[in-house]
Amino acid sequence: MTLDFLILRILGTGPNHGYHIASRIHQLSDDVLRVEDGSFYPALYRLEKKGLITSEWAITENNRKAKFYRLTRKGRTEVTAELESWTRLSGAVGRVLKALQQEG
Amino acid sequence: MASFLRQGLRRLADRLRPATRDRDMEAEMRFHVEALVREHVDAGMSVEDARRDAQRRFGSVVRWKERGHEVRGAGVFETAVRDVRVAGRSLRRSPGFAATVIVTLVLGLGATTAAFAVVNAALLKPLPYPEAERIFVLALPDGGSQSGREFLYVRERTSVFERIAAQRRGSGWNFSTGSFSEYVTALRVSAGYFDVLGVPPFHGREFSTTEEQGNGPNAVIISEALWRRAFNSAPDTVGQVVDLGGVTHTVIGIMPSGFATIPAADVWTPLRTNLGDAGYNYVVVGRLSTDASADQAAAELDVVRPELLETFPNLNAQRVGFLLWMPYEEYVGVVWRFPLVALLGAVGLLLLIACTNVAGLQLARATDRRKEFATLAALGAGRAALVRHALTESMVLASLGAIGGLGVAVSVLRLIPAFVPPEMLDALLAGQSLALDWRVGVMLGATAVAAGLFFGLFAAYETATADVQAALGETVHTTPGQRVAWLRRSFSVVQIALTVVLLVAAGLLSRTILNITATDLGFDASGVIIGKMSLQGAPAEDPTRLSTFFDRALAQLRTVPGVLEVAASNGIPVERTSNLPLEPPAGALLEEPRSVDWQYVTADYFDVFRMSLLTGRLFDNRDRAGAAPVAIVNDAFAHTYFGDRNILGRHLQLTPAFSQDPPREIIGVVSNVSMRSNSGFVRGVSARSMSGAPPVIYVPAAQVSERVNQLVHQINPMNWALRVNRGEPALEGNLAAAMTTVDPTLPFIRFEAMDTIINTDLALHRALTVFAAVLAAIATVLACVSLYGLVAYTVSRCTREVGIRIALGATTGQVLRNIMKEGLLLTAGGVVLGLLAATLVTQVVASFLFGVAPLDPLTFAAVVAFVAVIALIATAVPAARAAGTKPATALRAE
Repeated sequence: MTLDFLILRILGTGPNHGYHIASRIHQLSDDVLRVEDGSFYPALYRLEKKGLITSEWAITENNRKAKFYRLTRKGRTEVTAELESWTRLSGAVGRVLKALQQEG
Repeated sequence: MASFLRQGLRRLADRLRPATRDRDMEAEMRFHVEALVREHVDAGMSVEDARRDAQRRFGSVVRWKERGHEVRGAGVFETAVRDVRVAGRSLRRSPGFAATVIVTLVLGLGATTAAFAVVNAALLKPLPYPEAERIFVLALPDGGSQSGREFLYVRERTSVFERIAAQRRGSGWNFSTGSFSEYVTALRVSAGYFDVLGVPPFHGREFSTTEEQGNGPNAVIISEALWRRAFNSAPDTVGQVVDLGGVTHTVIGIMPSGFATIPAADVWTPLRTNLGDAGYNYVVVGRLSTDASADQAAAELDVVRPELLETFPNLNAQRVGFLLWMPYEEYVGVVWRFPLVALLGAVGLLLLIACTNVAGLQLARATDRRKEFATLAALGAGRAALVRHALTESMVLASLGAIGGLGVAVSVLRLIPAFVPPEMLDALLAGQSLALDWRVGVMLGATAVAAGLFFGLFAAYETATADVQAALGETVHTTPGQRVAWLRRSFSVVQIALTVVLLVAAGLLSRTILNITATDLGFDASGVIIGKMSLQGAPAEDPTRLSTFFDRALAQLRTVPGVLEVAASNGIPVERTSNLPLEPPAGALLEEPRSVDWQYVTADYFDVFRMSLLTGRLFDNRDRAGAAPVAIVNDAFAHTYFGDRNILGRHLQLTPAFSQDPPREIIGVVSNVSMRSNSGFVRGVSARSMSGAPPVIYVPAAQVSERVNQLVHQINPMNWALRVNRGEPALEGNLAAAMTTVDPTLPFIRFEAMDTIINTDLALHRALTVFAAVLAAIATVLACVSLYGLVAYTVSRCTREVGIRIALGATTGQVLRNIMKEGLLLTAGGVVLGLLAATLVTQVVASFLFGVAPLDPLTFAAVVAFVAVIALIATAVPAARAAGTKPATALRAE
């Protein structure tokens, strides 16, 4: 779920191409997450097939043709829902950790 | 919306075209790698290193693409596409097999589709009236019609029908208004008839009960097409007065464009009847109330029946008992149901032959491919995959057969009008077209799928049972299962039997056609054309005015270039027209009154048709109105009534009360001409009566009573018989122009060559013969292919055995005999079975035969000989090939 979620999250800030998404994931994770392996593009295709994102060939700012992905309305709803549950889960985990810390 | 559509289309293209998808992913991943390279170069790396590093980081484009395909592929759909591709490749490897199967299926499916299209048009297409399912006909189960008594009584009595009306088949009329004049077809309909059909006139109104009265106003409703032709669509047409058959009528309504009654008509006039009208001439139709059901209508009729019998004691109780409200849609097709279902059955049998044939071929092929399948199974192909492959292959074949069959069906339907007389086609289709519609499409699709499954399952079974051990281990003795062999043999026997039946039918019908055309018609038709004209109500029917009209018209027509001779008559050879009651002549053999064929003719009639005078004299200038009444009879009349030709001076008379015709002296006897029934096609013409010459009386056209003129002109149009130079240009136009100068209100209905009239009469026979011959030819080819395939297969199975036997000293002849024995035994079985079936089937076509017995030994013998020869060839060719095998080659085989 994580890779899919990250992709959706990044596309939430605006349409972009695969390379950019991958770079953002490196960047945001301080190069911890390296996504140039077999799972990245299949993940994009899977999301597209699910109808969460759509794609279109367009010109980049460097004047090159690239395939741009964009969130669909369904994708946007999905991100919000996922984000909520993620926040709830991380909040809960945080609270648990904090409680354990206080006990210790 | 546009972008949504574009997206959808793109996604569809993505699914349909793996190649496009591949290019798409390739470009996308290349872009990614390029971007990685650029990133590194920007960071100061050499292009070379950057490329290597990017490559390493990204990994294999090929592999990621593969995984991309897996994700993006459309699952079932793409698998199906791949299966079809594989099936296509595998079929291309055996083009002979594929071609045979496809041609077989094209013929079978084509014939079935064409036959179904006819059935569809005649029986299945809904009638073009709103809520047609609520229209019912008061009829007998065979479609029999009613008299004025039933009509008026039931109309008065009903409460479940919104409205009840009736129609009576009209004849033709001359319709004229201003300078426009045309022969139109008419239908008499009662008040409310159009209301029952649910289509009101779009101008004016329909008939009311006022027009129905015996002395009601003469009103007419016209079709939109006639309105356009006659009135140029003038908006003030309603209220205009037109001349219809010599009587003025007021136009009170115009029916909308595209509307047609059954039968079709150009004009509708009021139907007039009364409770004393006992003639069964009316088709009674009713529109059921929206809140009533067919059961309620039936229940009401149960109550009405005894009342009817009580009110009209003369009614036939049994007939009344059979009365029922039949749905109009069913009524329209009732006459055709049996022949059409028979047609569909015959064609269905052909399709069955085709399918068994293909199944046989598939079985043989699957058996031959056991090794291939076993190898595939050994390499890990699941049983399901193998079955899927076999079924896909069959479906591909069935689809190709269906596409070709559609083509065949379209061509056959185009050819139908060339073989079926127009009147018959009109009656059959009742206003519907033969065009293919969704029903035909669905039927073709379903039949093709069923056929594909039928023969596909045989192959799939054979494939799925491929045993790796057996097939790969003991390579030589891959004998097919006994069950398979048994199936294929029965297929062959059935096919040969059916072929024999069809050949016998085709043979008998062909001999009938030959016999009929070889029969001397008794007149010379070449160079004779017939112009038909309605004289109903015009130009007055009193004898003097009519003969003046004839004299003037004949003189005018003779002046037209190309006309050699011309005569007028109410009848012509071949077509039977008027049948009038004759008093038993004095001194005749027959003593009871009888109806007899009766024609008035002008003097040159016998010359135009080259009929010969046997004794006495022909008509001439002496035989005018007021002169001594005379008659000429034909040879058949002389023999039937008096036993010999020596009858000059004897007298005959039509029933006086009926005809007001005087006694006539017989002044001559002419040769017989063939007279055929021209209305029998619906029930099937009895060919035996076709060449028979009935007794005929000819009288001078100038000497006919007004009463008889009215009678005969009411029934049928009269004929101008012209012997002409066929090559003369614009002949028909000139004839029409000449007639206009005599009387512009009397148009020719149409011109027809006498040859055409004779041929039209035979058209149903020809259509049937062609149909049977085509089916028989197809069946023969299919049966031969099947037999050939079977023997060739057996031969290929036992090549080694043959080799051994030849090596051991068997002669070629012995080997041949041995191999052919099976094929010939099957043929013999099929022929015997076929002959038995044929003796039954020929009884059905007996009424269509002429000059040949249903069990004609010559035809039967010829068919047996033909099938035997064909079967011999089909078995000998592969057998000979086997007998020529060199022992060494044979032993090395496989």
